[in-house]
Amino acid sequence: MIPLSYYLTLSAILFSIGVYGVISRRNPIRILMAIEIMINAANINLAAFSAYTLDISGQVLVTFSIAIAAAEAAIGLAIFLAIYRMYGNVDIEKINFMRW
Amino acid sequence: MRERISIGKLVLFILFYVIMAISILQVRWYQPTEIPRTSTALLGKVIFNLQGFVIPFEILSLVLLAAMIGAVYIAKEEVK
Repeated sequence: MIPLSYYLTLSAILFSIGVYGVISRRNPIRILMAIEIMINAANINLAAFSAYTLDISGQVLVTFSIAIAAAEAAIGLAIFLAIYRMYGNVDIEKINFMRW
Repeated sequence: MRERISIGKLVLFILFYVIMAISILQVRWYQPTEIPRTSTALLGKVIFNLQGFVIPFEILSLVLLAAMIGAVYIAKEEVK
């Protein structure tokens, strides 16, 4: 049987890749994709703990979390689309008008 | 536009992963002797149960509707 630490290590790898994508990329679409990878890492953790503690409600929470992630991706893409319409580029170094 | 790969961020990424892997592997995790195979039917019974998750499910449908309307409103063309 697979130990629980294998799942946690996979989740840690995915989360690290997501963190690297967020801190190293300039393209906002790539940043959104990296955030999705981090959300999926958290979902893997939740499903693994739910299966190994013999409690199914964690897997239900993963189902809800995937739906929330879909909503978040749609809102993020819409925001970047609106920023592109207003300013003509989506360079994240110049997007500082949402700071306050 | 080609993006350069920064060495410092790569080192930060590897250090982050190593710290997390060490902290995962140090813990003796609880290990059940046998994991029952959970089916999708059981998951559906838990979700669509009044003692279960049916009210969060309905709230989630409202959240998705609000997100869809908000995304369409933010991203739509300006009407002259």
